[in-house]
Amino acid sequence: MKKMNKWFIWLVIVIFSFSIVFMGIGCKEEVTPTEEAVPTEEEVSEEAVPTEEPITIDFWVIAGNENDMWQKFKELYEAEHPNVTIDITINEHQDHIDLVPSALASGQEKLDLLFHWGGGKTDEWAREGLLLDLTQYAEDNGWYDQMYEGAQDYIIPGLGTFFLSTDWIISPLVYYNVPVFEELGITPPTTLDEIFTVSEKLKENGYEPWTISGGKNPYNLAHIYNQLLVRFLSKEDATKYVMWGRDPNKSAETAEIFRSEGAIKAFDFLQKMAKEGVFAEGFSALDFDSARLLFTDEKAAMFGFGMWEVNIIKESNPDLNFDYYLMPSYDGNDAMVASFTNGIIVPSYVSEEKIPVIVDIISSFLKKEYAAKAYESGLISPSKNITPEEVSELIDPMVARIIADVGKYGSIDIIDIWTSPIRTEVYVDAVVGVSEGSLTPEEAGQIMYDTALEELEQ
Amino acid sequence: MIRINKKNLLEFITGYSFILPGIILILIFIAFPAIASILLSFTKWKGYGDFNFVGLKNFIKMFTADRFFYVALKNSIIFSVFTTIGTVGIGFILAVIIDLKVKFWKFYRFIYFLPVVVSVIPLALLWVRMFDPYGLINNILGKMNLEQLQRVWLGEPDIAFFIIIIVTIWQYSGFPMIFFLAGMQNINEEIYEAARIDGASTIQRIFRITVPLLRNVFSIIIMLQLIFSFKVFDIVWAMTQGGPAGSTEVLGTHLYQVAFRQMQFGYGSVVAVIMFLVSIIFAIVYIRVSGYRKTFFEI
Repeated sequence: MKKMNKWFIWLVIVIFSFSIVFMGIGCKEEVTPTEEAVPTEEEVSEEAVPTEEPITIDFWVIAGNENDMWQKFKELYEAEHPNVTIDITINEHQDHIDLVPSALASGQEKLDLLFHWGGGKTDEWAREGLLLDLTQYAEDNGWYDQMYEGAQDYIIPGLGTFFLSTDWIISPLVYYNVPVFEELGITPPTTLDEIFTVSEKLKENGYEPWTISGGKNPYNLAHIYNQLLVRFLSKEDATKYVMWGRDPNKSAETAEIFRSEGAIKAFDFLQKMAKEGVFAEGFSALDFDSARLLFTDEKAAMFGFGMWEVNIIKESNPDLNFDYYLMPSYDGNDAMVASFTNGIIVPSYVSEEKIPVIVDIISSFLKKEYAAKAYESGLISPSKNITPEEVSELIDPMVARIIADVGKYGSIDIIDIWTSPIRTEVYVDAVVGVSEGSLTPEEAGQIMYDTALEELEQ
Repeated sequence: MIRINKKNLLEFITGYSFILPGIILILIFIAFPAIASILLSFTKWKGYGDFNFVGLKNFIKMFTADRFFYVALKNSIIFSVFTTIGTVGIGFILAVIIDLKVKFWKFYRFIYFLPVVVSVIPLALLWVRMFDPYGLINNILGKMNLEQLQRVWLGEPDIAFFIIIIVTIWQYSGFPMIFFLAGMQNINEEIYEAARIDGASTIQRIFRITVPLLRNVFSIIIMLQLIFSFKVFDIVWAMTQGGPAGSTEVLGTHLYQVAFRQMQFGYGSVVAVIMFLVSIIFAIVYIRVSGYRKTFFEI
């Protein structure tokens, strides 16, 4: 009996040990990018047609208007291509930022296509071979001939096309509560300095002036700083600031733009806005939703962010009577940062059989009936095959006015601030630090400059 | 030292075979990542691409050029000291009360331990909503005509950190409470009886009998709490993400920012190494100062 017990115990140990070993063997096989990431001209010269076999495309998008647009697109595309299923995974904004680098680097299997922001680290990923080179596909399918000029800013010099713009956004706009303004006899500010007098009047009457998310979701503040940059720098210098990462001749000398007088002035103005109570009290503790809630609950009279907020605000409070004004001018400078920053990228490890389908999806997106889906969702398509006038019945009247107000497509591009992960995060940290008072404008400029130098060393 | 011979070889192999799976798991999930992290701290790595060996550059950067490091280190130390004092102190008081077997004592034991087992994130988010400028706390203060006490609790650098400490104490006081209760079960009732006959008051019995006899429990709990709280991340990230103005930044959140947001895994590993070293120092210093030698159940 004792002997049998011993054998039984040995059996348990062996089975348990083997199970651990098999667990290790059963782990996902490492997926490495195929060597020939760039197809030959011969391979792509044929029109890209989807396979007739059932195929699933796994697509990551962010929640909100983007998801809305892509869900509409999916319906249309799947109806026309019954053998193709587009499986959409929705991530919240910050989750998407956090998940994507690891997903790309690990060779995540269930990922064939994903939303991303233009620039937004895609330069670096492209250089590391994590993204599929779409240059030849773009040329052969005439994508850029069908897109507005601004969309071409996303071609990486010396590398090619790795990001395709799918919709255009404008930020920041400043939404304001119309009845509150009328009640207090104030009008939207037309210069930056007027923001302070308007805010003072609002505070005196018990309203939070401008609600905004702080360090928890810092991009709200970062967008405001971008707009301030293009007012305190010349257009040429503002372009140098945002395009620094793409400059083939970048150096310590050109990095001086980050601590230039204009950049420091922009930080200084942002800090002044925070110190003089233009931003809602406790804004550093607010996230996007809390910040918006203050506006839709009519506790704050102004709320600044992008044009995608129009639909969201209306859904949150359909009875709210609100309008918008564009970021006021400074010293006659009213330049607007408007860009095609939303788009798609394709992992380099995507299987070859899926590439024709992905190419077809991208080509379809530029067609009129598909591009209309962007307008339906409160966004603007980069496709020249459709104009806002043609879909005026689909566009919210406020969005239509915003498009008309901004006028020019893809003026100064902000994407390059975000070409490197470290510079992106240091940039938003600097903006948040200045707004919260933990950094002086000069320190913020110095930090940006030091980070640029670090990048040069790599 | 046991000599291995033919007779006891089987026993030897059997014994080690039982612990082998555990050792393999520790090697794979603890030892290997720890060693990899230390090696990574000498490199520059973005999470993809090549590892670039940079020697001690990351360490030099941390001590000379990282404006958040010393703030995070200071906050981590303050956090661990205050939460340890709070959780151990309140946990002990709760254990004493429950040990008196008051009415519904079993229910109290359950309810005080419940926050310990609930996930940190939903609790933290709940507290964030309560401490919102327009949340429950300020609403209650308003209704009590105490508007002057209303604050932007998580938006003010001087207050936010202590709010997080209070929430942490609230959540984890149940953990030491359970250990103290277990320890108190092992104290002979006759000792208390003798003290009562000698005229000792309740407070005197607690401080002259209970506390000394639970010395070893105190030692273990304080050490565990210090180490666990020093490496805090979840509750701080969920409530403030290190803000406002970096006032609640701790080493855990700083590590997350540099490694996963800035994609500087090499530099992030330096933070991890520092956290590991400081935890070890905590443990060594505490063990020496407390004179802890005995096992948990020896009184």
